[in-house]
Amino acid sequence: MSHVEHLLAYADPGSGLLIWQGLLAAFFGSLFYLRGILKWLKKWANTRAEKRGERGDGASAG
Amino acid sequence: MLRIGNRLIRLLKQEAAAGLRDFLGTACARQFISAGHLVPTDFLSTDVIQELRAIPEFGAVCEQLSPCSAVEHQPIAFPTFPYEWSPAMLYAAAELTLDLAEGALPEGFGLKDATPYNVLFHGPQPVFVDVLSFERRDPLDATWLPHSQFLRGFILPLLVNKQFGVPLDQVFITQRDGPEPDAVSRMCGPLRKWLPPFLTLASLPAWLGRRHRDDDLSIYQRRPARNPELARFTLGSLFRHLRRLLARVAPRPGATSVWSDYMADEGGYSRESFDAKRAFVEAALAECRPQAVLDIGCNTGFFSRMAAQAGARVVAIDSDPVALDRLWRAAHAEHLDIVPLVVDLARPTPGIGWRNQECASFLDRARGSFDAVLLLAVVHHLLVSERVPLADILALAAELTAGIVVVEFVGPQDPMFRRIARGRDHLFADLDVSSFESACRKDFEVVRGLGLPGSGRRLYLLRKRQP
Repeated sequence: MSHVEHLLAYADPGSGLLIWQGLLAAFFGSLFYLRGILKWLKKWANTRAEKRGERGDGASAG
Repeated sequence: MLRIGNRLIRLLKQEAAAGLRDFLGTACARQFISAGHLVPTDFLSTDVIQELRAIPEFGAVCEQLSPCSAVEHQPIAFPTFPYEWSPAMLYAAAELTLDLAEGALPEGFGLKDATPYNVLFHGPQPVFVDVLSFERRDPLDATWLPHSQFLRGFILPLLVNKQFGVPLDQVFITQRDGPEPDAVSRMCGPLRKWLPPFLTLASLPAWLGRRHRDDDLSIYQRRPARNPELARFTLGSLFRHLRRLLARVAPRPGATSVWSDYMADEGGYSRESFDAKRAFVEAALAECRPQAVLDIGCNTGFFSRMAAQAGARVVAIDSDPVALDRLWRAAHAEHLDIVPLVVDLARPTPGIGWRNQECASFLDRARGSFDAVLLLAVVHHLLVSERVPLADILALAAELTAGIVVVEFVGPQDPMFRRIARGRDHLFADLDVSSFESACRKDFEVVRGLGLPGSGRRLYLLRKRQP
């Protein structure tokens, strides 16, 4: 029993850095999706701007 | 790994050999090897392996691994260890490790180890030597497994060296894998541990480690990303983050120390005296043409550079890491074959590891490796400050050289001698030119000597007596 307690008391010196890397990876992964969202928003905004531009040209030609 | 004569041969199991063959066939591996970043490695044919089996040690290992393959590595002339490097050398080894880890990714390979013990120095150039560290990566793997090892082996030692002045030998001799985040966090004051870079490099990982339940093994399970693009993006971001961290702990090029500016005024010699010293050493190198030179007490390497420019491979040792940083930067910039090492001859690096045999001591590596040893303006320091008897100093010089020694005698009347003797001159009353030359003759023939003008110092060219 004391041997098991000794094992439970052992703190793996590498676990903290491993968990930290996992958190970093999650953060960078979220940036990936954020970047995707930003790209989509930019594309949507550009498309709207182009459509407004076309309607404006049509109105002035009419 | 077996050393057979001058050859360095590694025996592999077949599955390891298959992976290595795949990697060595990639364009990145070829590029790494041709650039001198990765040790040249070639597979041995079955005929050659069969011939080598006649050697008992080789045959025995081959039997254990049977069926086995074998590769031959190009030997590095003088193996060194991280605890002997200057901070700039550890930084260069870290940069190389990241370059290789990232450089192999486009071809589907990665590094599974990131320890400084995988790097040796060929002159001033770091060379990655553990080719088996390269493995195929899962395209969905968004993590770099040796991330922690890289932080402990490179970033944290450089951090504590830069911020707290902890010498690298103190870091690595006591902790082979480098300091733990908890230990670094405890070095900080109450405010500093909450500030970058200590917050993210030491305090947070230490706190996370303490909170982690030891029976929770889920952190060791790989979690694949949803798609390869996400994995590549995450991994790329992680490597950019590591590079920013590394830049933050880079050693300062302009650092100074007690001895770093010693040669700024030619070591305090008069111009005439220094010119005579330089000419004597130059002539000795030209006459004897040594291929391998050990410069003991090299400081910023004035004479190491002279030996390298004369065509020798040089190992330059000194106890001042700042002076050696300067030498390394100069050797690296000028492509001079010099390996500067932080080694104090009075207290050279011991054998380290299991049975003191995993990493050989400096003296074990040095014996028989040089055909010239320079002992310029250093013997009096060993005599006075380290209290090593003259006979022992010269006996060690005889072990280290296979050919010549260029040694400088600095007598008790010399101002530097008197300064370091601190009133204990009477202990060296018997030391004079005659007793010095007599001591040299035990193991050496005195080829010639020269008194430096305007100084009581004398230079000697000694040739080791052959048995």
